Amino acid sequence: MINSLKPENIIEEIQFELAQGLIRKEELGEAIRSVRNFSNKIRKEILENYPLDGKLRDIFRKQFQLIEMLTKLIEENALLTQNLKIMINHRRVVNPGLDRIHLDNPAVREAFASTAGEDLLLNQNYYLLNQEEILKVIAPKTLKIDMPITKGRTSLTTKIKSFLKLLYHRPAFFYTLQLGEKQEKINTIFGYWLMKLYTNSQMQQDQINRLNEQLSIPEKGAEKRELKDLL
Amino acid sequence: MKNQLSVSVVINTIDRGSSLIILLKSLENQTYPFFEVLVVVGPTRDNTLEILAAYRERIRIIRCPTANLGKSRNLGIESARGDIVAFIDDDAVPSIKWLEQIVALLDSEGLDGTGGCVFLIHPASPQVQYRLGIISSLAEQVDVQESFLSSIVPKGLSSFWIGRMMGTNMAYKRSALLEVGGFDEFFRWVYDDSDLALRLTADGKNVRPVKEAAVYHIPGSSRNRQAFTYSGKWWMQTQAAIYFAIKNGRNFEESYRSIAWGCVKFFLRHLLWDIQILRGKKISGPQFIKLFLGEFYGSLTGAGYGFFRARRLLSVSNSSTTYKEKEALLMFNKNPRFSQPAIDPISGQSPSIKITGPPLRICLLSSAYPPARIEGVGRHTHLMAKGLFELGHTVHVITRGDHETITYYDGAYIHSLPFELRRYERLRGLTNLFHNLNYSHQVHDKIVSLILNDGIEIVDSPLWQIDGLVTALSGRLPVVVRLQTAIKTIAHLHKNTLDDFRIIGEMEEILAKKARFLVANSQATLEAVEKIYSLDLEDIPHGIVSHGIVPVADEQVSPFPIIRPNPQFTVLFLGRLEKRKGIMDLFQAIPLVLREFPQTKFIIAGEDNSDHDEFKMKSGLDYITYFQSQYPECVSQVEFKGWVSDEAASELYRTCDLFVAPSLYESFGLIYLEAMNYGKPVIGCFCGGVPEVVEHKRTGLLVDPGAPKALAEAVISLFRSPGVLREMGLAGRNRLLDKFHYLKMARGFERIYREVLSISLSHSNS
Repeated sequence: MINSLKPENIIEEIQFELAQGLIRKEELGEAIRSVRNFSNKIRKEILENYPLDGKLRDIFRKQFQLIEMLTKLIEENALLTQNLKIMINHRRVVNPGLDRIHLDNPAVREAFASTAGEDLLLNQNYYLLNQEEILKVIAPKTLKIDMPITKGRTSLTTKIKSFLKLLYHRPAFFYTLQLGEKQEKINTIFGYWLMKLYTNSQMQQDQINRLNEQLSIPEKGAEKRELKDLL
Repeated sequence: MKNQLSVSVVINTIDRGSSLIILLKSLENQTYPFFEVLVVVGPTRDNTLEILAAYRERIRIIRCPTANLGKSRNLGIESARGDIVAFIDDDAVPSIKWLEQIVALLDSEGLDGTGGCVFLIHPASPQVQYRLGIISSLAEQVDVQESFLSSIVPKGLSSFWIGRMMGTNMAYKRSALLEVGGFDEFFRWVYDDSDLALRLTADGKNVRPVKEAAVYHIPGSSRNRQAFTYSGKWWMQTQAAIYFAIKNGRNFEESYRSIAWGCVKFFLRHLLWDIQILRGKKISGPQFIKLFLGEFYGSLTGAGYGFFRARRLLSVSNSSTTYKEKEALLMFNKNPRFSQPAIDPISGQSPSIKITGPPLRICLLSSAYPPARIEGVGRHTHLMAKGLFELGHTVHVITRGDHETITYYDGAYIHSLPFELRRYERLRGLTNLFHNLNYSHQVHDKIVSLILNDGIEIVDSPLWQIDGLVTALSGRLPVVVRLQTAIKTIAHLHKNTLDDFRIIGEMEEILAKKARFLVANSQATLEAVEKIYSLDLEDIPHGIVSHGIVPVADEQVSPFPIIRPNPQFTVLFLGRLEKRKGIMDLFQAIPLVLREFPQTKFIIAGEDNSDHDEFKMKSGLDYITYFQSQYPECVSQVEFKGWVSDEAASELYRTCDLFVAPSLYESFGLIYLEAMNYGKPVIGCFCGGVPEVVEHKRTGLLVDPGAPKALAEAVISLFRSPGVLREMGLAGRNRLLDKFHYLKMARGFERIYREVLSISLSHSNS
């Protein structure tokens, strides 16, 4: 890899980093973690230490669930923004089943010519890279929260209790999933439109550059071109 | 046309006339013109009022009868005529765009109060004093943060935290101040700023500090504290903090338990600090007892006032400050902006040389810079900065350091950046490139900040280590590149074929091609870089500006004396002990010289570099051990000094008879100039830029590189004609004064910067 590294590759890296912006990904990830930990801490404090009746307890639990959902949404949104930035800056679209396809591929251009959002959704050729892979490439330790799971021996009573708890939380999970699925669709459309706009702007820039070359101010000693010469 | 907001800059001062005058001078450089200056003078004991007499036509002076900061600030608010009231301490200096940024923030972002960061810039203790600080209703605070994300879940007792501004750098809408009654006059010294921020927030106002809008603080002593010492009325802080916690804790519905515990913690923290400084022997026993008793007194009185006394606020109905039709501002700056020359924020000195055009705001890059140990590029940059300041320009230097600091030294603001390796992860395998690119990007971030705060217009970067690469690629500002020996040349000399160096060489080429102007210190350097990087110089503006140095005083110049009985010659070599510096040729020449002149003393000063140029790897010895083993008969006449400080080097130059530096390659040859400065003849080689510095047979002798016999013969020929030693020394000194003065060098750079800026301006206008 090193032997094939060219100056153009380094310049691309520099321009990518310039486009990254000023907020550090590490800070955002840590901040999200801190909020989640804090929420868990006060949840434990309130639910375990204060004598609350059933309904009030329910309200608190649901409030904390909502906080957890919102935190998760922020986290996923931040991840998705990272993904989109990578895509926009590196001009890559990857399909798990195909080789890398660049935006100057006619098939890609044709797909982006479609204006119906549903068509784009149904287009099986374009998927985002798996988030895990992207994180590995850029900064694996930022927005990913490791959850070490240790296997232990649990009694039958505990297993039944856990099963019932899961059953109880199922409606919340269901609605969260629904929300997430809807959000994913919205974000995918958003992403595709961004890609399309980017392609268009690149094409326009190319045209502008070509025109500029033709109309460029002549250097010293060069003949001055008249407009009529260009027509 | 939108109405511009007007600003009243309020300066509360007592006993600090000398720093106040520096602040007033620096306000003349503000880019935002619509402001007045109100100086609220307490019962001062120094010559503040005499100093202010010179500004009578441009400022308004208000007297405050007591040494009470809260009251003094309220007097400023009462008399202010501007839409915005901005506060700055009398021992601080604002960045050039301070007011411009504050007005933009308060005008457009729905804010009622804001303020920027504060840097302590005195060289004795430079540090970031305040940035994005937060405070709780129980007086817990964090002063320095990178962003608000760091404290999204604050650590502390209180459940209510806000961003707060520091008194040295804060601004509010005047209407908002009047609505909340200004400052609480209980606060005579500290916590007035935080208390106001909390009361504004409680009143539904929007207060938020920002990362930029910088102010540079040079802490001065006051009646309450001696700067840079532990001596102070710290009990006043405890008193103010406890009063603050009680008043604001109750206002923001903290429990009584939390308030009490917060006050106790504050008291204990202060006490622990007193014990620490006593143990560190910073204070004596009696001083500790006094502090200890003071803490008790402060706590009790603070609690008493906090519970039982009402706040003393500005009464809007009683004052004449009801917001009606504005009286005309007494504008402070009647001169057009950017017309004032640079000012030293610590001494208040302005350059004495008359400036020839509008002063520029320049950013120089240099990985090393004084007062740290420096060589080559660092030394050159320092002299450029010094010279440019003397010509009236404001200079900012970005350099590497252990911590993020800003300090002021010898004509320039020096911004130190610690290493942060958080980008370019994919290039981690190429260590040097990885480090250099990360640093270059950090430099770029700093440049963006300097554009915002200090209005810098142009960046000057050395080619070496590609500091300016990211900025050049971003196109934010024009970048002038100073050429040195290309890394490709050095890699070739040391036979280094690592990929890392190859790629850095390619990056140097890109930086050179992206430069708006290439500046070489000699024709040889220009040609060498042109050749090695295949630059087409017809497409890239370029020029030559020779190095310059500060001439020493005439009393220091000591050419070879006319008559010296029994001359025992002293020959000096000063430079890194490495192959490129010709150290091996010198080693071989020494025995030849000693054969003819056995009394000759050789002094070799400089750090051994045998680890880095692979000599040790190949021979197993460092240079000193090698010489001692190869030439044992000469050891008694040769003294190795190792690395020497600038003062020691000056003494060595002054006391030697002949300076020898047979470098195999020098892009310029600054070391010869340093010897010529003291009236010493020099011997160098026909290589690189050396012949442009040393006039062969006039100011010294030049021999072919890698020719120890010729080197020895040159030395011997001079010793045989001591009169020539003196003539050459004096001729060298005159040549330096004529061609290599640091101010002449600075003028050369100034001309280039103006040319680049005028071209940039004409491109952006067209």
